[in-house]
Amino acid sequence: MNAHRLDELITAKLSGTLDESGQQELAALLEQHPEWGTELGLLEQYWQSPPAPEAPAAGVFDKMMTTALAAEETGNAPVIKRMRWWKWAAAAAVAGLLGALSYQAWWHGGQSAAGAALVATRNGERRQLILSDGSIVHLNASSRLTCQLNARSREIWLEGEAYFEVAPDAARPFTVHADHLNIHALGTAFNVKAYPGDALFETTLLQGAVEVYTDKTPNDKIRLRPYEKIAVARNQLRELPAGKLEIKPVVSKAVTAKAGMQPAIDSTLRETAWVSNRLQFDSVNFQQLGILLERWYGIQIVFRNDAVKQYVFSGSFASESVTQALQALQLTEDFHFENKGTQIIIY
Amino acid sequence: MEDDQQSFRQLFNHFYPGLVRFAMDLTISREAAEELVADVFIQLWKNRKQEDPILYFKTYLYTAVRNRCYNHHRDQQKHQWLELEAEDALPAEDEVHPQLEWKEMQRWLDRAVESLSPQGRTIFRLVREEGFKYKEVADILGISPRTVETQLVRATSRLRQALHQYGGGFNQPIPGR
Repeated sequence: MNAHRLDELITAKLSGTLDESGQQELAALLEQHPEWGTELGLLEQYWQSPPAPEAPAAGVFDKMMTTALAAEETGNAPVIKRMRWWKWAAAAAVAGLLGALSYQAWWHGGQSAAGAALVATRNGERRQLILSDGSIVHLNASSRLTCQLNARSREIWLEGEAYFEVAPDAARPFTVHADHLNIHALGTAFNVKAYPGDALFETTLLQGAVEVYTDKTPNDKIRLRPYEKIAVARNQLRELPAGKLEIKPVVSKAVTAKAGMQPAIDSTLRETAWVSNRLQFDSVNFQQLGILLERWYGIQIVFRNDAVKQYVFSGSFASESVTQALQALQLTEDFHFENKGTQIIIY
Repeated sequence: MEDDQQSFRQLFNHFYPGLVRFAMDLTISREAAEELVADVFIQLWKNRKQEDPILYFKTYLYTAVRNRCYNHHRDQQKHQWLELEAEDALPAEDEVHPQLEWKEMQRWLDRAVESLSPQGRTIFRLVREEGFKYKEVADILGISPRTVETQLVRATSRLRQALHQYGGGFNQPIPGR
């Protein structure tokens, strides 16, 4: 066995550049040599725990600023009242998102509250973000996420759908706000689906624990256990007493998660299939599926036949084009469609 | 104006420590590194009225620091990577550590990183600690992405060597982080 090749594979694995064939090669090697797996585990643990940077002493900024302001007085340029580009950068840096995104994303990110960072996805676009606390967020299509991380709290505002893998930090509670629904995470992995146009808001827990409460019932929290889901009707959010929130179990094809496992995305679960680039749906009518397809493929769907809207489908799509997806649906039900590029007519 | 400075302070505090460390990796003294990084921020402040946003802001900052470091070296007539690795930083091959405490192992691996060539160490830190991609590191340092990869593989090799020296007791569970 070529030791250098193993070093190459491990390096790619650590830096996140290992491709599919490399993964298979590494997996095959580890099967032959289980002791290398332990080695890799240690290196991964080391790689993922870099030293925390020390904040500069208070006087350092002031000293620099004194020089900067002195230099400016000689220049004396007119002051234009508008948000400076670097204020966005500052806001982004506070949320620690600069590393994950190009600066441009922030510039075009739009209006954000002071000190908060905002990221939005279009129809058909999905993104993964790493927050400065180490938490990972998968943002589904057509969603908006605003975050504010500081020394005492981690607060997220969500419109749309996101999957969270929260880095444990007992001193800084991690709270997701969606409309009037609040989800308080306790070191965990969970999915929140809260599109403004949807009738139901759903929170699904994969690992750890979360507490769910509405603005009206901050003292009446409902705690979910792994593989439980809570669904709330959006139009009832404002008046619903928390006691009425209904908890449902979700069914996974995968073996039940073992305690102590790293948060793993369960791709067999409908609620989180999108994180693994899979669109999965269960007994939804064509009209609802149309909304899912619009988000997924970034297209517009128009129905010209009311009967067709009531067809019910179950299934999943991964790499299919929208045409292939619709052709697959045609195997089940009788309908026609016309693909006009950005718009699809179904009749 | 106050508000402007407040945002700028946050930006400064966020990037300053990493940039100073990076400048020191490019083999200049801490004092010179701090001064040089402060100069970059003074320039940023002067340019703040510029309408066009800077793309790839973090890469821009690191590139600015790198350029200033090279100028600093040029001025001092000693701009060069020290290519020799400090082989003696690692103890002899037969020295074996009985302990498997995670913190200690971490320090042990830190020492292995310290023992890399300055270029290798810098590249390793930019990828691991700052989260830069190979291409970005190559752009910042003005080297080829291939060199970045080669140096990282060398770092992995050195880390694995350090693990072997640490005790070979890999079958034991490692305490959590």
